[in-house]
Amino acid sequence: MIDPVTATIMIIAGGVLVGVCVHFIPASATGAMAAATGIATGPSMLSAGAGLAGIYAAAYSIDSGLAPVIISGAVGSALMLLITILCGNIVLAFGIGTPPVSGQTASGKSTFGGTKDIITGFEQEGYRSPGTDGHGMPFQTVVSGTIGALMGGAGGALVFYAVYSMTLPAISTENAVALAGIVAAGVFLINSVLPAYVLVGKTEGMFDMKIRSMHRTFISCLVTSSIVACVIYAISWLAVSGVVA
Amino acid sequence: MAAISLLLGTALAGFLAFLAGIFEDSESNAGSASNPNSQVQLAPQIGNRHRYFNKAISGEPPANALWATTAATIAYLLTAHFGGDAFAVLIASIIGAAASTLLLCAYGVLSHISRIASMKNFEQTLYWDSLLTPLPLDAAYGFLTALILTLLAFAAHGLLGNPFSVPLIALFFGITIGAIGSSTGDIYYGAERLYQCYIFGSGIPISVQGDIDVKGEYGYRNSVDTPYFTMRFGGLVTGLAFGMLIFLDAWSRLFTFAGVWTGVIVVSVLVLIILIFIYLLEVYTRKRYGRYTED
Amino acid sequence: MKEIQIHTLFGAALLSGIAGILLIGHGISIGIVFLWLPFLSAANSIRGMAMYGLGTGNASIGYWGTAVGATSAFVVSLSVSCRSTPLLYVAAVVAISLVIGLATGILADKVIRMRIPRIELNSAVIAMSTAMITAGSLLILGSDYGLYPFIYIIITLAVLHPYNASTGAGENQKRTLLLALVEACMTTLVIGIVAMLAGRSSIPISGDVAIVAASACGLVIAVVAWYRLVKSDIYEIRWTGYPPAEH
Repeated sequence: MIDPVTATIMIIAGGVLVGVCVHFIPASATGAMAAATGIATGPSMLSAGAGLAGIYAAAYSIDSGLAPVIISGAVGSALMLLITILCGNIVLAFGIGTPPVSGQTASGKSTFGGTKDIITGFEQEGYRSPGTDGHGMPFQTVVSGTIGALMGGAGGALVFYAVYSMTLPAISTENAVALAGIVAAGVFLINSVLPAYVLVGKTEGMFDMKIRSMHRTFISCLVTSSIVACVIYAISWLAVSGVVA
Repeated sequence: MAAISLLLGTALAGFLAFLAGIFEDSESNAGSASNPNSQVQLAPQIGNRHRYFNKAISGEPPANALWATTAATIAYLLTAHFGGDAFAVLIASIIGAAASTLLLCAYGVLSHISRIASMKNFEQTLYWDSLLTPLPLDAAYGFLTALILTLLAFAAHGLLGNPFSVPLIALFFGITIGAIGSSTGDIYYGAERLYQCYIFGSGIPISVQGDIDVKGEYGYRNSVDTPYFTMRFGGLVTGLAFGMLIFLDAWSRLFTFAGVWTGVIVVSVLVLIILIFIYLLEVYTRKRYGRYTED
Repeated sequence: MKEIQIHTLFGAALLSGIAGILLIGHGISIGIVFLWLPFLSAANSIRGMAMYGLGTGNASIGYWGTAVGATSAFVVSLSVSCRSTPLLYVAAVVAISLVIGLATGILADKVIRMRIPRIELNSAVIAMSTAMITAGSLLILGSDYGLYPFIYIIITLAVLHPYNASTGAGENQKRTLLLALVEACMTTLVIGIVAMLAGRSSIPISGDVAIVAASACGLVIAVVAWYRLVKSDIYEIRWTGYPPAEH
């Protein structure tokens, strides 16, 4: 168990991690028409899917302490995202007949410049179908997405464990888990939508120029999760000390 | 005993999740939901009046979360009344899924009529039969999705031992399956089925978006034909994704060699293996398809 | 056609919502009909935000706003009983969701620099309206933590769907709000049915039946009114046929 002040800081840290993770997960709504690089759905929806899969995985190790909860959340989230990427690329390769390619990199507008994949060194130019902005998830965006999912899952699990240990003295274990789960999901959904405003519905992860506006997400999520964390701290303090109106 | 229940739960959960993925993708395609919906919405604006079922409820994650959570909540309350054995769970899940299907039908009808009513300027007619023919099919897939996700939530809570309550697990599964379905199966619907007149082996250029196929194998295309086409590939891959996620996640907890860290180690190894598969697939497609040539 | 202002609608929703919660708090379950106005006000504010080119972000706004409102209501229910002191509970819930909603709106305007007029007002209105609806539903359904996810998600869909379903060039506020009323009735109907199954002592089963009956009546009236408006807005309604050939 952890003390309430540490738990409050954990909720803030978790909220910020959740917000920042959305910048790393490549997603784009027009990906569903194979017209843009990234997983074919809105960034906040996808991050929510991955993060909640992480919280679900983290719940299994709730009795084992803080570190196993956070790490299970992180790898659970990464597993969900990688399986989604693999199957999305399978559909693109065998259903649409296109190789995965980064549109931003192909047009030389990625963060590190050049027209090659940073990790594998594959040339991107010429592989994207005419008139589109790339399609699928090339290896560099996969790595970026994995980092994002690890952060998102860890953030969700941090909030989950913090709320669990703050409310545990007031209510039964079973209820504390249920309440912590829904509050963690709520904090996740609140914070994962703010970056979507910055990204305007499309990002290629950390190789997209939009990563440079991450400080805006950071400040917004820091303020929002601080307010949420203080509220949770105050309420659970009232509940634990027996002041029930 | 605990080991047997874990084994049984893992096998059952993986199987159920695989089915849920297939039905979820077919449900969203029968109603042209999620991201490809933008193309069906765009079509009348560029003169393609169509007979698709335009079921714009929301993004797939919240919609599926609603069907699954409603079904699971009703089942969760009913099991308390019925006593808690496996048969009671099954009957309660069926009743819950039926109730959430009625909700799905109501939302589907309201969306379709409202969307068409907002397209007056583009002379899109509301054809009652193009709404009422796909609706039972869509409702059937929605029923199966809600039923299976509810059973899956009961399996995760009862057999696998997840501490969350059944409705909360259903909410998480609903959002996750929606995110997976809209990012795997929907590509096949949005980039292949809606644009079958365009040549295979290319993404859909932004300039032609909205120019969807409104005619089918014979006559005008309706949404009943869609799952028939997409289930043969897109639906199966969605099922593979969700089934693999739930199965591998449960499977990683069967081992005990490193105490509390076992699951983490197994999943990390799986993550690395999947990364290698993604790399090999990229190499294969680049070799197989090559560069686009000017034409 | 003149549109209803955000302030007017929210003012009415706030009064009506508090009246509804007080009625439910005193065991008069039919007070749930007063919660329909908060549904309308939340849907109207989602319309106000999503009109400015958010497109598919519509659903995200819906679940974000409901997450703020519902999470505040869920957290507060831990310490302040919604049953014994309903007024204190509602005041706390509305104040907290106001702070979070307003703060997020101001951040989205000033830090993220979204070009959406009155984003901070709309965010606060969505958060407060959904918080009131959640509080009312918690009073009806009792404090079983297993039911929280259901309350959250059913309110989310009811407030985000009206504008999402009506999107298009011919969208107008009147039809969107009537659709919101249809879905508000539908939602309270489902909540009434779930309340019957939940079997807790505070409200007798006849109270749940009253909720279902009132919601069903409201649903029929709202659907008829909405369909009348659809018929006047739509291009053409036919039983079957083919679209005219264009090319």
